[in-house]
Amino acid sequence: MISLPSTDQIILDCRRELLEVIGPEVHTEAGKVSVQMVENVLRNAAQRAAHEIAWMRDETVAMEAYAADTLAALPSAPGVAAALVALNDGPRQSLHLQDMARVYSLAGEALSCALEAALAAGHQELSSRASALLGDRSANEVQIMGEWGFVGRG
Amino acid sequence: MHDLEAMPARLEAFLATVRPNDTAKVHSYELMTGGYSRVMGRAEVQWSNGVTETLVLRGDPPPEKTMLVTDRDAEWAVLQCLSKVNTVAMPAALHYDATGEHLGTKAIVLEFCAGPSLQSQLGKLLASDTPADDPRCLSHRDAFVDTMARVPQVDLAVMPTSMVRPANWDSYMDTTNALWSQSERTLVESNPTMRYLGAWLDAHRPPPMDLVLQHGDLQPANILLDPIDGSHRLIDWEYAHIGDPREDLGWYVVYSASSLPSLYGPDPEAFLARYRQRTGTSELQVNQATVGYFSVVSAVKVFSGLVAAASAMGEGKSNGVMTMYNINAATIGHMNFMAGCNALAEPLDALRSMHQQMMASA
Repeated sequence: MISLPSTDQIILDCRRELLEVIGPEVHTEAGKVSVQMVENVLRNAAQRAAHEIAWMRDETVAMEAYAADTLAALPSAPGVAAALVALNDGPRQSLHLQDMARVYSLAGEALSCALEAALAAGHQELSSRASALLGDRSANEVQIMGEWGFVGRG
Repeated sequence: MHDLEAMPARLEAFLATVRPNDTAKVHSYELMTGGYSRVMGRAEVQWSNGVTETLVLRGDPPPEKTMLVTDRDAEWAVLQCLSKVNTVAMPAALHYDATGEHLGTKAIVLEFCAGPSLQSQLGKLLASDTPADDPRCLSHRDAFVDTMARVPQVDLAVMPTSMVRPANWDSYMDTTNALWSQSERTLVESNPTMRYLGAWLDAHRPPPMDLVLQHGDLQPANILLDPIDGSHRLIDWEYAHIGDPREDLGWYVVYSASSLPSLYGPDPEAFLARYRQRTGTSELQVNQATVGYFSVVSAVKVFSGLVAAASAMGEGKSNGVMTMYNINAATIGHMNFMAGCNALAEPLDALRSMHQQMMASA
């Protein structure tokens, strides 16, 4: 396959076409709002295309480690063991996007069960660590978002 | 409501059923921008007696375009009850197509308010770099607080019997905090932030308050200004419910973080002092920490709607660019809620201790 221009470059070029060629021809208020929204979504999609596989892989490793550590500290934590088994049974060797997303979601479920147990038990160190993991996750989301504000409101 | 060409005739036929002694001619019908959740239409109508009128139609979008699911029957019931009391000013709720038989979707017909929204007025001040302590900004802030403070003063006895009435504050918080986890479990993919928030809210409850009416989406885009005197008309009651009075405060803090200018951010203490003065609440109950807590609580329904819409799209059940556009609001929510949890844990625990000491000494 021809890999360059990369997917994110292609999407950003579509965005340029939208802004420079299509947008000026749109004259209704609803149409203009729609163009602004599509422009934003294309920017988001380009950022995801460029980085999401790496981000999901890195976060999955961290989430799995957290769940395993929680299970060691709180062996009766509800759902954590089963969630780790499900994660282990997931399509972990595949790099296809749907499979990556599936494994990422399974790791998220393991993290969720673990952090619920940590907060309910008042386990300070594990609670803080969960918060830090979610902070890292949020930082990636913010990179996808870029500049954003409501359009068409008010 | 979605078929623009057919709508004039459909609306005329509907108006004939609700006002059988008059005949209406619909001269124009167009979609309105400004709302994300419902479809809004505007119609210019002339009655047989010569009177002309502008009507606003508020209905559900097509199912595959629906981003946030709310109940038109419940909203109509709330509007009818609020119309009987003058506690909160709002556009008159005139008619309702309860089946969608006439207008193509369940739709509420409302009085048209000619004035701008408070959000658009604030936007103009923002665009001209007006400082937050300018008298015009302070005047808007005070009027906004006053409108917000009127909602919890609505007598619950007049509200629809169909409205959920929680047994007490604790059971209400049990149910509300659990929504984060319950909503997350319906999604096509996991969302650990939602699960964290539900667990965190349960671990850090603030002092309780009496349950009251809450608007559920009280923000400047949902306030229309009277073109003559600038008085407020509060619209979009689809999320109205009986809940904790700090929910509307908290939701505004969430909303204003992504829709500037904020009337709260420049001087939260002045904002809250006026609210307390208008509602007779105490500083132990209404303060920056408790409002921060309820910014997380109040966001669950709208937030869950946003991520559920993306989830449905992920399953191939819906489409629409607005869904993915608005997922950025979920990103802002994740970021702000986590920052809030980190900052609020200690002050909330201190407030709860103070409240428990007061209860013990009483």
